[in-house]
Amino acid sequence: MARAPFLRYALSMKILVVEDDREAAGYVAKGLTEAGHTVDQAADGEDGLHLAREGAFDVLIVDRMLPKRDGLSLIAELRDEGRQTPVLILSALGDVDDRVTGLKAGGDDYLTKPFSFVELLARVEALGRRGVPRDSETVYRVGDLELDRLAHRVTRAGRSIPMQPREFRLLEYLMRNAGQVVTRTMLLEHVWEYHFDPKTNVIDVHISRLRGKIERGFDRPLLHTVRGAGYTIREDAP
Amino acid sequence: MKTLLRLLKSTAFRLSLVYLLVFAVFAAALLGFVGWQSRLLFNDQLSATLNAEARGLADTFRLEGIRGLVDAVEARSRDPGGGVYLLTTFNGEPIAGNVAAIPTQSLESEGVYRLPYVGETSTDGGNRAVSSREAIAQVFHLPGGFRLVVGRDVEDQLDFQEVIRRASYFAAALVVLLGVFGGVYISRRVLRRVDAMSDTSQRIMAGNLAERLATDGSGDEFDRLARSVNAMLDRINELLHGLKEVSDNIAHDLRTPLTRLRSRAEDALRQTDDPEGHRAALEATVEEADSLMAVFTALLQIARAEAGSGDESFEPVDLGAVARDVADLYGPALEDASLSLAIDIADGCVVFGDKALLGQAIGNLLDNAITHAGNGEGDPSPLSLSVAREGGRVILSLADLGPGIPADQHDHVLERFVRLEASRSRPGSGLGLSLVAAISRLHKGTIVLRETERDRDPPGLTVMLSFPGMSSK
Repeated sequence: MARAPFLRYALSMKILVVEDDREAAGYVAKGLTEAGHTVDQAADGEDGLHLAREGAFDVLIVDRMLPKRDGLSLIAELRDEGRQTPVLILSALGDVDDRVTGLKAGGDDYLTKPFSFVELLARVEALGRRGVPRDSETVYRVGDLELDRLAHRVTRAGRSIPMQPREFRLLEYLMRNAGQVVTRTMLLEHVWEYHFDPKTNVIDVHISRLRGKIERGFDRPLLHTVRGAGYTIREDAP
Repeated sequence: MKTLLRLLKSTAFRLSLVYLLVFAVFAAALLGFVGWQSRLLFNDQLSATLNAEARGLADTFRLEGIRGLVDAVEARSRDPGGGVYLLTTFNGEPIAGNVAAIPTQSLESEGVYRLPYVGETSTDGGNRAVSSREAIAQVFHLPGGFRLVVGRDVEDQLDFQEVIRRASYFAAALVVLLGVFGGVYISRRVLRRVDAMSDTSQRIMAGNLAERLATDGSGDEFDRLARSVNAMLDRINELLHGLKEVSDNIAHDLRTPLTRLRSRAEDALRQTDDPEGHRAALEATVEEADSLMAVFTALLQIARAEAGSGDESFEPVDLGAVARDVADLYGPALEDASLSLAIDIADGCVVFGDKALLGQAIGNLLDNAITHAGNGEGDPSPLSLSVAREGGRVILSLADLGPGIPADQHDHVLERFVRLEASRSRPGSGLGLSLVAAISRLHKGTIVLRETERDRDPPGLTVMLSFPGMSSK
């Protein structure tokens, strides 16, 4: 259902999945392949380390608890060897401390089981795009929408749109990942820098206000809702 | 035999042995020192006396000649007491004195000697030799080749030393005896209590979890140990109880949504020729699974917060800043729910904690306000969030003017899965407030619910969280 947009926009990536649960690994690999990526699999830590050294992967997905060598030590080993391949840690341990430990060990993102596949895909694709030096760009553009990061100014079709600081950061994050799906938790983590579960649809309300600002008075929508996944900003409809 | 072995192996017994040894060494050292010092003093005094006496006799010899000296020696020899006197010619022939025999070679040179001698006492004119004794004596050579020996019998002193030695033996025996019996007595007493404790522990391990170690109220080490072990057992019991409650609740409250999920899937399976219907059913199933997962996550978080100390991930957190962030996050959602939020946040409200958990707690409170106190389409209802320092504590309070919670239900709603009748139709798992309570407990804080305005209808609800504050630097 939500796959087409990923297929169409994502760059094809080479991804290594290190996971000992064959069925779970199978689902992840199937989904990633359908989204247009190439997937290799390893069922234990040693095998995973070996493959990660040999193949030039864009992103590694590593389970924390693995036979032979646990996920964190695998990541630490790779980082010691100077390999900077982005890593998404999967874990059944979900409290805050585990998350912090995982990120400290050299992981770039952390996802707790059970997760939804769209969340995984969105995060993997966001990680894969880290190679693209978007941080150095001072102006983000999507269609006729322009965000000037230095001047803190947003214009659409040359018309200036006033923004609250938080709205600006929200739009900045969306545009930085233009064409990509970003999930609600990703927004919460990156724009508000909090990691917890709001019960009500607090993010949706922010998005709908932002949408009002950048779309009201213009005929073409830019900020799209991807059902069951999150949001994406792009020129044409998904 | 076995009891004795156990006794010998006990700590108390070993300790008393060590004390015994130390005490014995100390006693021996003390007695030895007393003996040595008294001997030294005796010898000093003795040589001074001998010296003075000899000088007196030498004066007599100088003034009165040998006759005078003989008289003086004879006179002194007859005095009772331990005096030893002997005047001889140059070749050792006795002239006067009370010594029957003395090793002649000791008269060869002057000086102080410890000599064996055979004394004589004159009784009824006849001299009678007595047994060989020991004396400390000074030998003088007088002009004319006379040798004068002035001494003191030391047998009495030797007797005294013998008494001290015997006293030492006796004391040592007594010390050892007392030490052994004392050690046995003390270790038996101690062992009895340790045995009792270990018996009780065995019974607790065997499953009798309600049992506690006996305390005698004496406040001694064992009493304190028993009390802390009991406190530990209470805490473990509490945790076990919590765990049981969680599993009961999971069994009870997750069954309903799981049943719903299953029926929906079955229903979709029955409709064989409706792809759109299948799709809708699948989407609804995923949503149902998501909300189940959310309930599960919340339960786990509560369990973790209640079980853990959490300290390892804690750091100083500005609760005011967290409140501001979360209020910013919820701002638009609150407006949509027709709540007008007023914020009053003091500076420097620093607590020791976990930013994400504190954020979650404030978020849950705001979620609750949206669900229960929101005014729908009507006029905005006031909602006030404040963070302030009061004494050493940091108080966060959120006050709404919604329907509130009856006062007698305040404690009840902090429990897991409790949803009051009036709110059953609204969304929510009934875990929100219990997670807030668990998070505040984890931060050594307290949670208090009360009516915002008692005389108003509805009275509204104020939730106050109070945390130990840190001094802001």
